[in-house]
Amino acid sequence: MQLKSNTILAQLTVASLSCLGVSGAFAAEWELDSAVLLYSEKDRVNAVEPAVNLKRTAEDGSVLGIKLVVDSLTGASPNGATAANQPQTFTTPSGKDTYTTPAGEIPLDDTFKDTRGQLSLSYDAPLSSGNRYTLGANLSSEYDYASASLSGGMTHYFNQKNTALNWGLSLAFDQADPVGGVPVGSTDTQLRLRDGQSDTRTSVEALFGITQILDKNSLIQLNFGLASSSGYHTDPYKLVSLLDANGDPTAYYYENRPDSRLRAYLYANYRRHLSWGDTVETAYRLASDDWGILSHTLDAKYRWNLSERWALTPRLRFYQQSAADFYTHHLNSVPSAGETLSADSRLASLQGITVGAKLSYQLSSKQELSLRLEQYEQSADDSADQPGVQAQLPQSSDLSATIVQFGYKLRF
Amino acid sequence: MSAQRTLALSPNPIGYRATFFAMGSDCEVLLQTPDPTLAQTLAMRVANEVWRLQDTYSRYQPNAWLWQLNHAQGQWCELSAETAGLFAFIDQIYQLSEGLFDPTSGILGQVWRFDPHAALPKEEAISALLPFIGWPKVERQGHRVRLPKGMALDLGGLVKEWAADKALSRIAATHENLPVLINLGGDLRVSGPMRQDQPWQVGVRQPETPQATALLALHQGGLATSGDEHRFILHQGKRYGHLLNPFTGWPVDQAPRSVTVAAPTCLLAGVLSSLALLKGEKAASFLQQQQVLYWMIE
Amino acid sequence: MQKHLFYYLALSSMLVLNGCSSLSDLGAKPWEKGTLAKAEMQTNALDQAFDDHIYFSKEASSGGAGFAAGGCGCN
Repeated sequence: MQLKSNTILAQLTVASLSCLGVSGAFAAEWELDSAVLLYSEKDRVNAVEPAVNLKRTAEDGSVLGIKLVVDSLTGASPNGATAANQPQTFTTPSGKDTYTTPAGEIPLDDTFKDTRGQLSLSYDAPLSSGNRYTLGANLSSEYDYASASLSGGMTHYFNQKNTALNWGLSLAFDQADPVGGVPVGSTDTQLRLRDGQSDTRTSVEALFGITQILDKNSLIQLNFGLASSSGYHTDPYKLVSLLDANGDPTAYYYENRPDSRLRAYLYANYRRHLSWGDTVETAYRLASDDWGILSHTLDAKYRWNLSERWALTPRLRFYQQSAADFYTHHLNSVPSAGETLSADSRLASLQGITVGAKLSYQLSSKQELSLRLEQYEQSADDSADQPGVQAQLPQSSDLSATIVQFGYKLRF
Repeated sequence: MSAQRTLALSPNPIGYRATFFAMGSDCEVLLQTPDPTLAQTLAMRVANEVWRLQDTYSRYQPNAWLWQLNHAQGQWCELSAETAGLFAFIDQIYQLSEGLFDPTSGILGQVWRFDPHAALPKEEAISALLPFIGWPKVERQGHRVRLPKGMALDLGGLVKEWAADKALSRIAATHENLPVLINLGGDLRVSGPMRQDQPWQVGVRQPETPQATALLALHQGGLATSGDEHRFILHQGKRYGHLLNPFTGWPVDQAPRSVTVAAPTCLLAGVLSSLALLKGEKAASFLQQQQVLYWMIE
Repeated sequence: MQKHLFYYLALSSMLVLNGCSSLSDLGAKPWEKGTLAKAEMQTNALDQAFDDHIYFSKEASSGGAGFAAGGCGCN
């Protein structure tokens, strides 16, 4: 059947939007979204992260956002060295102290607490054409690291706003000021070779996306992004163990990552409102980079409206990545100068699974409370040949974290 | 207007039903929630919105904006953004109906009195009013509006339907998932299906056999009725319905007595049913072209 | 007096309007976008930001849904 686009109903419907307030005018509104994240890893890092996001929508449809996040970290994290049959003693990054890891345990460095503050500003406004532009600025600072970024983008609408094309560019500048200076990569930690007090990295990221409304209940979003960074990518506090044939450590080397990275990703997101009132969201991301890492992420959420006030959103996330080319569990021989290497388990071949749910409660018409509870389990396939005693020793890469988030949202 | 502005809330099998009186009609709000406090709050929001629109667009209340516009004797009056939106919509209906739908034609009521035994007005009396009819004669400049002296606006064919839609959006602003039905004297609007995707069961009354109602399963949108089968003049065996052609000042020939239309919003349903009546004998074919669900009493 | 009741059965007016199914019909009419505009159909920005931060610091890949704000020394 061919729809006659000149039916009076069709014409009137568009005309009536002006007086039914469906489009055009926006009511000025403030929205405060606040939350506290409690992230705790079993036997390792604990983080408390309060965040406040204040958003103002003006009558012209422009949206100004200010976000403040504080991130306070305590606990220990693996320093990259393998476990050993004997106690291992390490010098702290400052060089002023030492810590000893008992035999049979993964070396964890628990010498520092870190607090990070982050401020983000965003402005999103319509143009007279109906398209929108976005500007963003972001500052993040912690005692040994600082980052600043600027971004800008455009969204173009087509097909009666059923199709949206968006593109954007982001520039970031990071500076690392490691405690005790910037170590010279791939050198023996005993030598304590340093290359200045700080190092920098610049990144540029381009994003191109399309959002298509499929029907009145569903939409799909596809993003393609390219990010290129150059400069310092190394974690200054991570080590790599040099093991002998028996699997015992004979020395430790500073890790050394390439000084550039090119990443590409493809992201797809499908959202559907179901006829009985619930909502499903599924997302998939394929990411790849020139370090040799290829990853797949699948994320699914189902919002179950229990009643007018209560909603439960279970969530399931799978992540899988291949190892970076320069990842190594340990060294068997002394590395050559400038050789790239890292034993950071985050660059190993690994899988992660997140299971959890978010419970939200509509306190009043303008206020919502929420509680998110999730469990994240990560495990690495370190099936590489483990010399001698290593085969019996624990590997550092398994991670088990609990995510608890309290949220409060207010519109006024 | 001495009608008391009160809201009565009672439980019913769906959840809660609130009733109030506004715009000369019995009104009701059905809310599918077990929470009486919430039902009361939201129903009050609906009633307040409908009363607010009544107090703005009533032709009979001297404190209403429309009454003041109609009695401004050709002076400029303030035009709110809300009314400007409505007028922009009327511009469209006026154009699409080629002038048949005209809110300035209400003044013909001064000479036509529709009851079966009334006499037909004199032709001179009618033609004396015709120069005061014509929507394009309403002047608008930014935030003000002026009616030429002798003209008046009657938004009766739109405001109740519009109110149903606007009242719903007052609820949806905060409770978009709550199933709600708003019925303003037969012009109704639902928020969407009830829980478990169940449709609302709406009875469409057939006036000639008051016991029989056609049951309609309404999932979404609105329903509105135009026409009043009791308002007509019988003269020499010919029936003159109450719907008047703004160009001739005479009743539209062979207009259906009443038309009920289902459309995406109550306002659209109201406009389509009004336009159908104005199409006279072509009402049925007009509605068929619009591909909407409708009921007609000829 | 003749009485007609026309039932255009089952399909609501909206369905009839969407009856044609070529690719150009992908999408929703302006008045059908109420559901898509609901808050629950949008990504919660704060949840997304927390997730970006957690997984940025624990996995090698990051981003995707948008620019992840806030670089940190955690990776």
